[in-house]
Amino acid sequence: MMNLPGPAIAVRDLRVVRGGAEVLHGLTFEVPRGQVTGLLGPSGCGKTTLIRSIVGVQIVTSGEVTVLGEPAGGPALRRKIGYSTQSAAIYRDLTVLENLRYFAAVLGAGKDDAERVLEEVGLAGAGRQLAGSLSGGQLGRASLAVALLGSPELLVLDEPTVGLDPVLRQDLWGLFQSLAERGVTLVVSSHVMDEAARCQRLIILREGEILADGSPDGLRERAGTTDLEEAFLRLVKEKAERVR
Amino acid sequence: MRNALASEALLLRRRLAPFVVGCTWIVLVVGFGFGVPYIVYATLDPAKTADRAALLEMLLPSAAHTTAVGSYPMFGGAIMLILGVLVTGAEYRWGTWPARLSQGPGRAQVVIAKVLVGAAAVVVIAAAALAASMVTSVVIASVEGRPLTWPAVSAVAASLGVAVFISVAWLSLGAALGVIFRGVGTALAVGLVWTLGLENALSGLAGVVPALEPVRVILLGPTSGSLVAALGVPSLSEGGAVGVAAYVSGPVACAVLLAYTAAGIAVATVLIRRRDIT
Repeated sequence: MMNLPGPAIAVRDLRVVRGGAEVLHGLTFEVPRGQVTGLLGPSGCGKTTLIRSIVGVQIVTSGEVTVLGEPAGGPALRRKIGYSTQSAAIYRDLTVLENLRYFAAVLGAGKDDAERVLEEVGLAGAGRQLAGSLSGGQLGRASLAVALLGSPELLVLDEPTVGLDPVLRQDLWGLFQSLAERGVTLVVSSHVMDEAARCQRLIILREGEILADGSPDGLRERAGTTDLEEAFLRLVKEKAERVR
Repeated sequence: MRNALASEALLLRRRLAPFVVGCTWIVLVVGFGFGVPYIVYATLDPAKTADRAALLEMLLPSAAHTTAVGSYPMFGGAIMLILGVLVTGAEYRWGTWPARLSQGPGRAQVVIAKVLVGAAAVVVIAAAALAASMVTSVVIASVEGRPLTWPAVSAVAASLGVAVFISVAWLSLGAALGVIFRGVGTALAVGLVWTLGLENALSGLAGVVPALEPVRVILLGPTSGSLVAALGVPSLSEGGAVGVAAYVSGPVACAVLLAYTAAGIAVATVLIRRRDIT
């Protein structure tokens, strides 16, 4: 994986309107390369809309989103980004392996890639199983396997650990860390604050605005607590007082 | 584009929908094109010698290709529209568009590849329906003790070409509806009500309200029927199939069908390119 200069993602004054309401209110931030960046915040805070803007499937009202040096959604990025959606993007009427072979063909990835990613997400035994018969957690992992195809430079994962048991969550976070060590940039969204500690960098969203942006230690220090959930609550309170 | 075509071909081969649609169509062609007319022939008053002979003539190998293509204007179009809706609309059902369109080939290439692969499936379905028609006609000829007289290869090829031409236009319209309504259910409902209800009503009304005639010549069903009629297939009033009638000339029918094909692909592509992908 090449380490190019500049951030993996640069967002400038991003505004997005969905259904007549402004969902993101002028976000500006950067995501460094080769790290796991956590995108955290309560449900409905705009995480998925932000992720969709980064991967280029969301119409933005104003602002700029640059990904790996290219405008978000640009043709050159389509082979460099892996994207796992919040609800599993898997054809339920195909087997897991058929799904992966299809998406591998989309990317022009090697034939062995499907087996490799199945192994990485712990679904090696379920390759010939019809996707419609998988549990919710297995479906999520199959969707994650799709994102891993073709060795992307940037992985954008929307709540990839929802519905997984603690052992699987730990395994997946181990996988994320090892990918980051290989130079892959990961943006992982979650509404579970205890996952925040596993990230090198955190962007905390609330009501379409950035509440905090920094390392887990930096956030703890700023909020004066060792518990990240408590830190989040204190930051919310601090902001509410500032607004008043 | 090569990746887009290879992946879409892989997807369609692995899915049940084209097989179900294809088999359904073959059963309909054999059943309504040959089975039902043969029952009518067999039960017709033996005194009506001329009617019986004319009916049997349409069911023999020499006319099997025209009888098969005569089924397309009314029901074949609706079946191919269903296939078109399933080609694009199913992506919304499984939520696979965002993952599909954020990686690999561009959005326009994906849509065009889907329609092209769907068109390839249509060629296979039309060829299989024609082959099944030929086999059925051979069975009927054998049962009736009639000689096996084969049509000219060029006539069979022309019938197959017309069947594919009509089918691709309907498929493209279905693909556009799948994108317009972001799914399968509403697209199918609107498409089938339009096809089997509104188009037939307008076409029928145009026979008594001359002001509607210009509308009829741009409807997909009547133009499909006109193209089939241009092959020499008899209209319903001449004892032929439902929906076959020469409302416009063959070249005009071709132009209208081409316009529907181009418009269907264009609408689907433009919407996929401009919209948020959900």
